[in-house]
Amino acid sequence: MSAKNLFLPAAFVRAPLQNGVGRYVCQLQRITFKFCKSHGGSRGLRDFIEQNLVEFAKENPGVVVYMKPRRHRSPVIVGEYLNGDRVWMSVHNKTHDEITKWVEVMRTQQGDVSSSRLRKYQYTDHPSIQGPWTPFTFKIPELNTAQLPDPKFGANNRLPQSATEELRLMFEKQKLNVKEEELKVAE
Amino acid sequence: MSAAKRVQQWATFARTWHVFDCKWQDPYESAHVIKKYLMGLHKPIYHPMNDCGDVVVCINSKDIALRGNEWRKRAYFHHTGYPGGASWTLAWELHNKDPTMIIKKAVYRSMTGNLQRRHTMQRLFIYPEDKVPEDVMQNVTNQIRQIRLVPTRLDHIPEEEVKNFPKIMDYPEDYVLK
Amino acid sequence: MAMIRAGLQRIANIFSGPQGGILSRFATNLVPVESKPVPETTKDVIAACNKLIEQNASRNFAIVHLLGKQWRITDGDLLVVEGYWPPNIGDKLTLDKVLLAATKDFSLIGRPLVQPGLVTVTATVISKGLSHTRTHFKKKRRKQFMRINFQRAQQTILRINSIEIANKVNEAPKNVF
Repeated sequence: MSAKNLFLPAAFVRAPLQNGVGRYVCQLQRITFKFCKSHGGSRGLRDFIEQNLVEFAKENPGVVVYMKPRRHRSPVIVGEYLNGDRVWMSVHNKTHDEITKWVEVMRTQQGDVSSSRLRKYQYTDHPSIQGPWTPFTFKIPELNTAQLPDPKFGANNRLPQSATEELRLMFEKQKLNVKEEELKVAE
Repeated sequence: MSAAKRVQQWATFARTWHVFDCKWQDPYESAHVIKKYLMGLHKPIYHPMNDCGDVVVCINSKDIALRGNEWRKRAYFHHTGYPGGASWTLAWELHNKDPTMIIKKAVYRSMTGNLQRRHTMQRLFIYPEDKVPEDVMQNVTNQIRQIRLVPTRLDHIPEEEVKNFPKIMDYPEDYVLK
Repeated sequence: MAMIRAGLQRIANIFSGPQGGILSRFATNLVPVESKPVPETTKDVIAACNKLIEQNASRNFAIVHLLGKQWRITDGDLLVVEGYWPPNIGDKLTLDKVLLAATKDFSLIGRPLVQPGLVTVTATVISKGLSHTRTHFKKKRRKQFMRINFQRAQQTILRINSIEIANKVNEAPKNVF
Protein backbone atom coordinates (compact mmCIF):
# COMPACT_ATOMS: atom_id res chain seq x y z
CA MET A 1 0.00 0.00 0.00
CA SER A 2 2.91 2.43 0.61
CA ALA A 3 4.73 3.72 -2.43
CA LYS A 4 8.36 4.02 -1.43
CA ASN A 5 10.79 5.66 -3.77
CA LEU A 6 14.26 6.79 -2.79
CA PHE A 7 14.25 9.58 -5.34
CA LEU A 8 10.68 10.79 -4.84
CA PRO A 9 10.12 11.11 -1.10
CA ALA A 10 6.61 11.40 0.28
CA ALA A 11 5.81 14.65 2.06
CA PHE A 12 2.84 16.43 3.57
CA VAL A 13 1.67 19.86 2.42
CA ARG A 14 3.61 22.54 4.20
CA ALA A 15 4.01 26.30 3.86
CA PRO A 16 7.14 27.92 5.25
CA LEU A 17 6.67 30.23 8.23
CA GLN A 18 2.84 30.46 8.21
CA ASN A 19 2.88 32.20 4.84
CA GLY A 20 -0.54 33.63 4.01
CA VAL A 21 -1.90 33.72 7.56
CA GLY A 22 -0.82 37.30 8.18
CA ARG A 23 0.72 38.67 5.02
CA TYR A 24 1.83 36.86 1.91
CA VAL A 25 5.46 36.92 0.80
CA CYS A 26 6.66 35.78 -2.62
CA GLN A 27 8.84 32.74 -2.03
CA LEU A 28 11.29 33.14 -4.87
CA GLN A 29 14.53 34.69 -3.60
CA ARG A 30 16.74 34.89 -6.67
CA ILE A 31 16.85 33.77 -10.30
CA THR A 32 20.00 33.28 -12.26
CA PHE A 33 19.96 33.21 -16.06
CA LYS A 34 23.00 31.57 -17.60
CA PHE A 35 23.19 31.85 -21.38
CA CYS A 36 25.55 32.07 -24.34
CA LYS A 37 25.58 35.30 -26.32
CA SER A 38 25.97 33.66 -29.69
CA HIS A 39 24.99 29.97 -29.61
CA GLY A 40 21.63 28.96 -31.15
CA GLY A 41 20.34 27.04 -28.17
CA SER A 42 20.14 30.20 -26.08
CA ARG A 43 18.06 32.07 -28.63
CA GLY A 44 14.83 31.74 -26.70
CA LEU A 45 16.47 32.86 -23.48
CA ARG A 46 18.16 35.79 -25.18
CA ASP A 47 14.79 36.91 -26.57
CA PHE A 48 13.24 36.61 -23.13
CA ILE A 49 16.03 38.68 -21.59
CA GLU A 50 15.76 41.35 -24.24
CA GLN A 51 11.97 41.66 -24.11
CA ASN A 52 10.53 40.51 -20.79
CA LEU A 53 13.24 40.56 -18.18
CA VAL A 54 13.11 44.22 -17.16
CA GLU A 55 9.32 44.09 -16.70
CA PHE A 56 9.72 40.93 -14.65
CA ALA A 57 12.28 42.56 -12.39
CA LYS A 58 10.10 45.64 -11.94
CA GLU A 59 6.98 43.65 -11.12
CA ASN A 60 8.79 41.47 -8.58
CA PRO A 61 10.89 43.79 -6.47
CA GLY A 62 11.49 41.04 -3.91
CA VAL A 63 13.29 38.79 -6.41
CA VAL A 64 16.98 39.32 -7.22
CA VAL A 65 17.82 38.67 -10.88
CA TYR A 66 21.29 37.64 -11.90
CA MET A 67 22.58 37.14 -15.41
CA LYS A 68 25.60 35.06 -16.29
CA PRO A 69 26.63 35.23 -19.94
CA ARG A 70 28.99 32.29 -20.44
CA ARG A 71 30.44 31.32 -23.78
CA HIS A 72 29.92 27.79 -25.14
CA ARG A 73 27.56 26.77 -22.32
CA SER A 74 23.91 25.69 -22.67
CA PRO A 75 21.28 28.02 -21.24
CA VAL A 76 20.05 27.34 -17.73
CA ILE A 77 17.70 28.99 -15.25
CA VAL A 78 18.36 28.46 -11.54
CA GLY A 79 15.79 29.56 -8.97
CA GLU A 80 16.52 29.78 -5.25
CA TYR A 81 13.72 29.94 -2.70
CA LEU A 82 13.33 31.24 0.83
CA ASN A 83 13.14 27.74 2.29
CA GLY A 84 16.52 26.86 0.77
CA ASP A 85 15.38 24.85 -2.27
CA ARG A 86 17.39 25.25 -5.45
CA VAL A 87 15.68 24.47 -8.74
CA TRP A 88 17.95 24.00 -11.75
CA MET A 89 16.32 23.91 -15.17
CA SER A 90 17.87 23.64 -18.60
CA VAL A 91 16.22 25.83 -21.26
CA HIS A 92 18.36 24.65 -24.14
CA ASN A 93 16.46 24.98 -27.44
CA LYS A 94 13.31 26.21 -25.71
CA THR A 95 11.26 28.92 -27.37
CA HIS A 96 10.66 32.37 -25.95
CA ASP A 97 7.02 31.56 -25.02
CA GLU A 98 7.95 28.37 -23.24
CA ILE A 99 10.63 30.15 -21.24
CA THR A 100 8.15 32.87 -20.21
CA LYS A 101 5.81 30.17 -18.88
CA TRP A 102 8.57 28.34 -17.01
CA VAL A 103 9.76 31.56 -15.42
CA GLU A 104 6.19 32.24 -14.32
CA VAL A 105 6.02 28.75 -12.78
CA MET A 106 9.26 29.41 -10.91
CA ARG A 107 7.93 32.70 -9.65
CA THR A 108 4.68 31.29 -8.28
CA GLN A 109 6.11 28.10 -6.70
CA GLN A 110 7.01 28.05 -3.03
CA GLY A 111 10.03 25.81 -3.41
CA ASP A 112 10.80 22.64 -5.30
CA VAL A 113 7.21 21.35 -5.14
CA SER A 114 7.68 18.65 -7.79
CA SER A 115 10.50 16.90 -5.99
CA SER A 116 8.23 15.27 -3.41
CA ARG A 117 4.99 13.36 -3.66
CA LEU A 118 2.20 14.95 -1.62
CA ARG A 119 0.61 12.36 0.64
CA LYS A 120 -2.52 14.35 1.34
CA TYR A 121 -3.98 17.42 -0.26
CA GLN A 122 -4.89 19.06 3.02
CA TYR A 123 -3.14 20.12 6.18
CA THR A 124 -4.76 21.19 9.47
CA ASP A 125 -3.46 21.87 12.90
CA HIS A 126 -6.95 21.23 14.32
CA PRO A 127 -8.37 18.03 12.83
CA SER A 128 -11.25 17.91 15.30
CA ILE A 129 -13.33 20.78 16.64
CA GLN A 130 -16.42 19.10 18.02
CA GLY A 131 -14.27 16.39 19.59
CA PRO A 132 -13.01 13.16 18.00
CA TRP A 133 -15.47 10.33 17.50
CA THR A 134 -15.86 7.83 20.29
CA PRO A 135 -18.17 4.79 20.25
CA PHE A 136 -20.44 6.70 22.66
CA THR A 137 -20.86 9.87 20.56
CA PHE A 138 -24.16 8.97 18.92
CA LYS A 139 -25.44 6.32 21.33
CA ILE A 140 -28.70 6.64 23.31
CA PRO A 141 -27.96 7.40 26.99
CA GLU A 142 -30.56 4.84 28.13
CA LEU A 143 -28.18 2.10 27.06
CA ASN A 144 -26.06 2.88 30.12
CA THR A 145 -28.64 1.56 32.58
CA ALA A 146 -30.36 -0.97 30.33
CA GLN A 147 -30.34 -4.66 31.08
CA LEU A 148 -29.28 -6.23 27.79
CA PRO A 149 -30.64 -8.05 25.79
CA ASP A 150 -33.69 -5.81 25.88
CA PRO A 151 -36.39 -5.92 23.18
CA LYS A 152 -36.60 -2.11 23.39
CA PHE A 153 -33.15 -1.92 21.78
CA GLY A 154 -33.16 -5.22 19.97
CA ALA A 155 -36.52 -5.57 18.23
CA ASN A 156 -36.91 -4.37 14.68
CA ASN A 157 -38.68 -1.03 14.55
CA ARG A 158 -38.33 -0.01 10.94
CA LEU A 159 -41.16 -1.84 9.28
CA PRO A 160 -43.68 -0.03 7.07
CA GLN A 161 -47.19 0.30 8.44
CA SER A 162 -49.35 -2.75 7.82
CA ALA A 163 -52.88 -2.53 6.43
CA THR A 164 -54.37 -3.72 9.72
CA GLU A 165 -52.63 -0.95 11.59
CA GLU A 166 -53.86 1.66 9.10
CA LEU A 167 -57.44 0.46 9.46
CA ARG A 168 -57.15 0.59 13.22
CA LEU A 169 -55.79 4.14 13.14
CA MET A 170 -58.57 5.23 10.78
CA PHE A 171 -61.12 3.78 13.21
CA GLU A 172 -59.50 5.54 16.18
CA LYS A 173 -59.34 8.89 14.41
CA GLN A 174 -63.02 8.96 13.50
CA LYS A 175 -63.95 8.51 17.15
CA LEU A 176 -65.21 11.79 18.60
CA ASN A 177 -63.42 11.76 21.94
CA VAL A 178 -59.90 11.03 20.76
CA LYS A 179 -57.15 13.56 19.92
CA GLU A 180 -54.47 12.87 17.29
CA GLU A 181 -51.47 12.94 19.67
CA GLU A 182 -52.97 10.24 21.90
CA LEU A 183 -53.06 7.65 19.13
CA LYS A 184 -50.47 4.98 19.78
CA VAL A 185 -49.00 3.23 16.77
CA ALA A 186 -48.26 -0.45 17.40
CA GLU A 187 -45.16 -2.43 16.27
CA MET B 1 1.78 10.75 24.12
CA SER B 2 0.50 12.99 26.87
CA ALA B 3 -1.98 11.60 29.36
CA ALA B 4 -4.95 13.46 27.89
CA LYS B 5 -4.14 12.30 24.37
CA ARG B 6 -3.72 8.75 25.56
CA VAL B 7 -7.17 8.81 27.16
CA GLN B 8 -8.59 10.21 23.93
CA GLN B 9 -6.90 7.38 22.01
CA TRP B 10 -8.40 4.77 24.36
CA ALA B 11 -11.84 6.34 23.97
CA THR B 12 -11.76 6.46 20.18
CA PHE B 13 -10.32 2.98 19.64
CA ALA B 14 -12.31 1.27 22.39
CA ARG B 15 -13.67 -2.15 21.48
CA THR B 16 -17.43 -2.41 22.12
CA TRP B 17 -19.17 -5.68 22.89
CA HIS B 18 -22.51 -6.04 21.08
CA VAL B 19 -25.24 -8.61 21.65
CA PHE B 20 -27.49 -9.91 18.89
CA ASP B 21 -30.58 -12.03 19.44
CA CYS B 22 -30.78 -14.53 16.54
CA LYS B 23 -34.29 -15.69 17.41
CA TRP B 24 -36.32 -16.21 14.19
CA GLN B 25 -33.72 -14.39 12.08
CA ASP B 26 -32.34 -15.37 8.70
CA PRO B 27 -28.68 -16.25 9.32
CA TYR B 28 -27.47 -14.88 6.00
CA GLU B 29 -29.17 -11.51 6.39
CA SER B 30 -27.97 -11.25 9.98
CA ALA B 31 -24.46 -12.26 8.93
CA HIS B 32 -24.36 -9.24 6.64
CA VAL B 33 -25.03 -6.94 9.58
CA ILE B 34 -22.87 -8.84 12.08
CA LYS B 35 -19.82 -8.83 9.81
CA LYS B 36 -19.98 -5.03 9.63
CA TYR B 37 -19.63 -4.78 13.41
CA LEU B 38 -16.95 -7.47 13.53
CA MET B 39 -14.77 -5.79 10.95
CA GLY B 40 -15.33 -2.28 12.32
CA LEU B 41 -17.01 -0.99 9.16
CA HIS B 42 -19.60 0.85 11.25
CA LYS B 43 -16.90 3.14 12.66
CA PRO B 44 -15.61 6.31 10.95
CA ILE B 45 -12.09 5.33 12.06
CA TYR B 46 -12.16 2.13 10.02
CA HIS B 47 -9.04 1.02 8.18
CA PRO B 48 -8.20 -2.57 7.25
CA MET B 49 -4.84 -2.32 8.98
CA ASN B 50 -6.33 -0.71 12.07
CA ASP B 51 -7.70 -3.65 14.16
CA CYS B 52 -10.83 -1.67 14.99
CA GLY B 53 -13.35 -4.53 15.01
CA ASP B 54 -15.86 -5.04 17.80
CA VAL B 55 -16.97 -8.21 19.59
CA VAL B 56 -20.42 -9.62 18.81
CA VAL B 57 -22.19 -12.11 21.09
CA CYS B 58 -25.00 -14.04 19.33
CA ILE B 59 -27.63 -15.63 21.54
CA ASN B 60 -30.55 -17.98 20.79
CA SER B 61 -28.78 -19.37 17.75
CA LYS B 62 -30.80 -22.59 17.97
CA ASP B 63 -33.95 -20.58 17.14
CA ILE B 64 -32.64 -19.48 13.80
CA ALA B 65 -35.04 -19.44 10.81
CA LEU B 66 -33.92 -20.42 7.32
CA ARG B 67 -36.03 -19.54 4.33
CA GLY B 68 -38.32 -21.80 2.36
CA ASN B 69 -37.02 -25.31 1.80
CA GLU B 70 -33.53 -24.61 3.02
CA TRP B 71 -33.72 -26.69 6.17
CA ARG B 72 -34.31 -29.73 4.00
CA LYS B 73 -32.31 -28.83 0.92
CA ARG B 74 -29.29 -26.71 1.90
CA ALA B 75 -26.16 -28.84 2.26
CA TYR B 76 -22.83 -27.88 3.82
CA PHE B 77 -19.73 -29.38 2.31
CA HIS B 78 -16.76 -30.59 4.34
CA HIS B 79 -13.59 -32.40 3.25
CA THR B 80 -11.28 -33.89 5.84
CA GLY B 81 -8.28 -33.74 3.50
CA TYR B 82 -7.96 -37.48 3.25
CA PRO B 83 -9.09 -39.40 0.15
CA GLY B 84 -12.78 -40.24 0.33
CA GLY B 85 -13.24 -37.61 3.02
CA ALA B 86 -15.87 -35.48 1.27
CA SER B 87 -19.20 -35.16 3.04
CA TRP B 88 -22.34 -33.17 2.40
CA THR B 89 -24.37 -32.40 5.54
CA LEU B 90 -27.93 -31.09 5.30
CA ALA B 91 -28.84 -27.97 7.31
CA TRP B 92 -31.13 -29.78 9.74
CA GLU B 93 -28.53 -32.47 10.42
CA LEU B 94 -25.85 -29.85 11.04
CA HIS B 95 -28.15 -27.88 13.33
CA ASN B 96 -28.94 -30.97 15.38
CA LYS B 97 -25.25 -31.76 15.79
CA ASP B 98 -24.16 -28.20 16.68
CA PRO B 99 -26.73 -25.36 16.80
CA THR B 100 -24.06 -22.66 16.49
CA MET B 101 -22.52 -23.87 13.23
CA ILE B 102 -25.02 -22.44 10.73
CA ILE B 103 -24.66 -18.84 11.80
CA LYS B 104 -20.90 -19.25 12.20
CA LYS B 105 -20.58 -20.47 8.62
CA ALA B 106 -22.90 -17.74 7.41
CA VAL B 107 -20.76 -15.00 8.98
CA TYR B 108 -17.53 -16.63 7.74
CA ARG B 109 -18.90 -16.75 4.20
CA SER B 110 -20.09 -13.15 4.24
CA MET B 111 -16.57 -11.83 4.85
CA THR B 112 -13.90 -11.42 2.13
CA GLY B 113 -11.56 -14.38 1.98
CA ASN B 114 -8.43 -12.63 3.20
CA LEU B 115 -5.96 -13.44 5.93
CA GLN B 116 -7.79 -11.25 8.46
CA ARG B 117 -10.92 -13.37 8.26
CA ARG B 118 -9.91 -16.03 10.81
CA HIS B 119 -8.71 -13.38 13.23
CA THR B 120 -11.99 -11.46 12.92
CA MET B 121 -14.02 -14.66 13.43
CA GLN B 122 -12.35 -15.10 16.78
CA ARG B 123 -14.20 -11.99 17.95
CA LEU B 124 -17.58 -13.67 17.37
CA PHE B 125 -19.21 -15.62 20.24
CA ILE B 126 -22.28 -17.75 19.54
CA TYR B 127 -24.47 -19.35 22.19
CA PRO B 128 -27.39 -21.64 21.33
CA GLU B 129 -29.65 -20.32 24.11
CA ASP B 130 -30.06 -17.34 26.43
CA LYS B 131 -27.48 -18.73 28.83
CA VAL B 132 -24.27 -16.72 28.42
CA PRO B 133 -21.31 -16.84 30.84
CA GLU B 134 -21.25 -13.98 33.37
CA ASP B 135 -17.94 -12.49 32.34
CA VAL B 136 -19.02 -12.27 28.69
CA MET B 137 -22.38 -10.71 29.48
CA GLN B 138 -20.81 -8.13 31.78
CA ASN B 139 -18.80 -6.68 28.91
CA VAL B 140 -21.80 -6.23 26.62
CA THR B 141 -22.82 -2.58 26.19
CA ASN B 142 -24.87 -2.42 23.01
CA GLN B 143 -27.54 -4.40 21.24
CA ILE B 144 -27.78 -4.81 17.47
CA ARG B 145 -31.32 -4.51 16.13
CA GLN B 146 -32.89 -7.56 14.57
CA ILE B 147 -33.59 -7.48 10.86
CA ARG B 148 -36.71 -9.57 10.64
CA LEU B 149 -39.78 -8.84 12.65
CA VAL B 150 -40.52 -11.41 15.33
CA PRO B 151 -44.33 -11.48 15.32
CA THR B 152 -46.07 -11.88 18.67
CA ARG B 153 -47.72 -15.23 19.04
CA LEU B 154 -51.51 -15.03 19.11
CA ASP B 155 -51.62 -16.66 22.51
CA HIS B 156 -49.00 -14.18 23.83
CA ILE B 157 -51.18 -11.11 23.18
CA PRO B 158 -52.58 -9.67 26.48
CA GLU B 159 -56.29 -10.31 27.06
CA GLU B 160 -57.40 -6.66 27.34
CA GLU B 161 -56.03 -5.90 23.88
CA VAL B 162 -57.91 -8.84 22.43
CA LYS B 163 -61.15 -7.67 24.08
CA ASN B 164 -60.73 -4.01 23.05
CA PHE B 165 -59.76 -4.75 19.45
CA PRO B 166 -62.46 -3.32 17.10
CA LYS B 167 -64.60 -6.08 15.67
CA ILE B 168 -66.29 -5.81 12.30
CA MET B 169 -68.57 -8.78 12.89
CA ASP B 170 -69.06 -11.51 15.46
CA TYR B 171 -70.59 -14.95 15.24
CA PRO B 172 -74.04 -15.27 16.86
CA GLU B 173 -73.99 -17.08 20.20
CA ASP B 174 -75.60 -20.27 19.07
CA TYR B 175 -73.42 -20.61 15.95
CA VAL B 176 -71.50 -23.86 15.79
CA LEU B 177 -67.98 -23.66 14.30
CA LYS B 178 -67.04 -26.76 12.38
CA MET C 1 -60.96 54.13 19.43
CA ALA C 2 -61.65 54.71 15.78
CA MET C 3 -58.52 56.87 15.49
CA ILE C 4 -56.38 54.17 17.07
CA ARG C 5 -57.79 51.64 14.66
CA ALA C 6 -57.16 53.91 11.71
CA GLY C 7 -53.58 54.45 12.89
CA LEU C 8 -52.98 50.72 13.23
CA GLN C 9 -54.52 50.20 9.80
CA ARG C 10 -52.17 52.75 8.29
CA ILE C 11 -49.17 51.06 9.90
CA ALA C 12 -50.37 47.73 8.55
CA ASN C 13 -50.81 49.23 5.09
CA ILE C 14 -47.27 50.53 4.79
CA PHE C 15 -46.16 47.34 3.08
CA SER C 16 -49.33 46.05 1.52
CA GLY C 17 -51.78 48.95 0.98
CA PRO C 18 -54.24 49.22 -1.93
CA GLN C 19 -52.27 51.33 -4.38
CA GLY C 20 -49.01 50.45 -2.78
CA GLY C 21 -48.16 51.92 0.59
CA ILE C 22 -44.95 53.91 1.06
CA LEU C 23 -42.71 50.87 1.47
CA SER C 24 -44.70 48.45 -0.71
CA ARG C 25 -41.81 48.10 -3.12
CA PHE C 26 -39.93 46.15 -0.41
CA ALA C 27 -42.67 43.53 -0.10
CA THR C 28 -42.75 40.73 -2.61
CA ASN C 29 -45.22 38.04 -3.53
CA LEU C 30 -42.53 35.45 -2.97
CA VAL C 31 -42.89 35.22 0.79
CA PRO C 32 -39.55 34.31 2.35
CA VAL C 33 -39.50 31.33 4.71
CA GLU C 34 -38.71 33.58 7.73
CA SER C 35 -42.11 35.30 7.70
CA LYS C 36 -44.04 32.03 8.28
CA PRO C 37 -44.92 31.32 11.93
CA VAL C 38 -42.33 28.94 13.45
CA PRO C 39 -43.17 26.58 16.29
CA GLU C 40 -41.76 27.16 19.79
CA THR C 41 -38.83 24.71 19.82
CA THR C 42 -37.46 26.05 16.55
CA LYS C 43 -37.54 29.56 18.00
CA ASP C 44 -35.66 28.44 21.08
CA VAL C 45 -33.01 26.68 19.05
CA ILE C 46 -32.53 29.66 16.78
CA ALA C 47 -32.29 32.02 19.74
CA ALA C 48 -29.68 29.79 21.37
CA CYS C 49 -27.67 29.64 18.12
CA ASN C 50 -27.75 33.41 17.74
CA LYS C 51 -26.51 33.87 21.29
CA LEU C 52 -23.63 31.48 20.62
CA ILE C 53 -22.79 33.31 17.38
CA GLU C 54 -22.54 36.57 19.34
CA GLN C 55 -20.25 35.03 21.95
CA ASN C 56 -17.98 33.53 19.28
CA ALA C 57 -16.36 31.18 21.78
CA SER C 58 -14.71 28.49 19.68
CA ARG C 59 -13.14 27.74 16.33
CA ASN C 60 -15.41 27.36 13.31
CA PHE C 61 -15.12 24.82 10.57
CA ALA C 62 -16.97 24.62 7.28
CA ILE C 63 -17.49 22.23 4.42
CA VAL C 64 -16.94 24.08 1.20
CA HIS C 65 -17.50 23.02 -2.41
CA LEU C 66 -14.52 24.00 -4.56
CA LEU C 67 -13.53 22.75 -8.02
CA GLY C 68 -16.02 19.90 -7.93
CA LYS C 69 -14.80 18.55 -4.62
CA GLN C 70 -15.90 19.14 -1.04
CA TRP C 71 -13.32 20.11 1.55
CA ARG C 72 -13.57 20.34 5.34
CA ILE C 73 -11.66 23.45 6.33
CA THR C 74 -10.95 25.53 9.38
CA ASP C 75 -8.91 28.69 10.03
CA GLY C 76 -5.27 28.43 9.14
CA ASP C 77 -5.19 25.25 7.16
CA LEU C 78 -3.70 24.49 3.75
CA LEU C 79 -5.52 23.12 0.73
CA VAL C 80 -3.98 21.82 -2.51
CA VAL C 81 -6.20 22.13 -5.54
CA GLU C 82 -5.37 20.44 -8.87
CA GLY C 83 -6.01 21.56 -12.39
CA TYR C 84 -6.01 24.83 -14.29
CA TRP C 85 -7.22 27.61 -11.95
CA PRO C 86 -6.79 31.31 -12.83
CA PRO C 87 -6.24 33.00 -9.41
CA ASN C 88 -2.65 34.19 -9.02
CA ILE C 89 -0.34 34.15 -5.98
CA GLY C 90 -1.24 36.61 -3.24
CA ASP C 91 -4.89 36.89 -4.36
CA LYS C 92 -7.49 36.94 -1.63
CA LEU C 93 -10.59 34.89 -2.35
CA THR C 94 -13.92 34.21 -0.67
CA LEU C 95 -15.25 30.68 -0.99
CA ASP C 96 -19.00 31.04 -1.37
CA LYS C 97 -20.41 27.54 -1.75
CA VAL C 98 -20.64 26.61 1.92
CA LEU C 99 -22.54 23.38 2.58
CA LEU C 100 -22.14 23.20 6.31
CA ALA C 101 -20.74 25.52 8.95
CA ALA C 102 -20.23 24.50 12.55
CA THR C 103 -18.62 25.37 15.84
CA LYS C 104 -18.05 23.30 18.93
CA ASP C 105 -21.64 23.84 20.11
CA PHE C 106 -23.87 23.94 17.04
CA SER C 107 -23.87 23.20 13.29
CA LEU C 108 -25.66 24.92 10.45
CA ILE C 109 -26.50 22.46 7.72
CA GLY C 110 -27.38 23.91 4.34
CA ARG C 111 -29.85 22.42 1.88
CA PRO C 112 -27.67 22.15 -0.12
CA LEU C 113 -26.03 25.51 0.55
CA VAL C 114 -26.17 27.67 3.64
CA GLN C 115 -27.85 31.11 3.21
CA PRO C 116 -25.49 33.27 1.06
CA GLY C 117 -24.49 36.02 3.48
CA LEU C 118 -24.32 33.90 6.60
CA VAL C 119 -20.84 32.40 6.49
CA THR C 120 -17.73 34.19 5.14
CA VAL C 121 -14.76 32.01 4.20
CA THR C 122 -11.61 33.89 3.10
CA ALA C 123 -8.53 32.31 1.59
CA THR C 124 -5.20 33.40 0.06
CA VAL C 125 -3.41 31.73 -2.83
CA ILE C 126 0.09 30.86 -1.66
CA SER C 127 1.74 29.00 -4.47
CA LYS C 128 1.07 27.71 -7.95
CA GLY C 129 3.37 25.01 -9.20
CA LEU C 130 3.48 21.68 -10.92
CA SER C 131 3.02 18.32 -9.22
CA HIS C 132 5.63 15.58 -9.24
CA THR C 133 5.87 13.63 -12.50
CA ARG C 134 3.26 10.91 -12.67
CA THR C 135 3.87 8.05 -15.07
CA HIS C 136 0.91 6.46 -16.75
CA PHE C 137 2.16 3.14 -18.05
CA LYS C 138 0.14 1.01 -20.44
CA LYS C 139 1.05 -2.43 -21.62
CA LYS C 140 -0.71 -5.21 -23.45
CA ARG C 141 1.23 -8.38 -23.00
CA ARG C 142 2.39 -10.37 -25.99
CA LYS C 143 1.01 -7.70 -28.34
CA GLN C 144 4.07 -5.42 -28.63
CA PHE C 145 2.10 -2.54 -27.14
CA MET C 146 3.78 -0.37 -24.53
CA ARG C 147 3.21 3.33 -23.84
CA ILE C 148 4.54 5.61 -21.12
CA ASN C 149 2.81 8.94 -20.50
CA PHE C 150 4.47 11.51 -18.22
CA GLN C 151 2.09 14.01 -16.71
CA ARG C 152 2.52 16.96 -14.36
CA ALA C 153 -0.64 18.66 -13.08
CA GLN C 154 -0.92 22.29 -12.04
CA GLN C 155 -1.37 22.53 -8.31
CA THR C 156 -2.49 25.61 -6.36
CA ILE C 157 -1.95 25.85 -2.63
CA LEU C 158 -4.52 27.87 -0.69
CA ARG C 159 -4.25 29.06 2.89
CA ILE C 160 -7.65 29.46 4.60
CA ASN C 161 -7.52 32.73 6.51
CA SER C 162 -10.79 32.82 8.38
CA ILE C 163 -14.23 31.30 8.66
CA GLU C 164 -16.73 33.69 10.23
CA ILE C 165 -20.39 33.18 10.91
CA ALA C 166 -21.15 36.80 10.32
CA ASN C 167 -24.91 37.17 10.68
CA LYS C 168 -27.54 35.71 12.90
CA VAL C 169 -29.56 32.73 11.81
CA ASN C 170 -33.01 33.41 10.35
CA GLU C 171 -32.49 37.17 10.15
CA ALA C 172 -31.99 39.20 7.00
CA PRO C 173 -28.31 39.26 6.11
CA LYS C 174 -26.41 42.54 6.43
CA ASN C 175 -24.28 41.91 3.34
CA VAL C 176 -26.78 40.97 0.63
CA PHE C 177 -25.46 40.00 -2.79
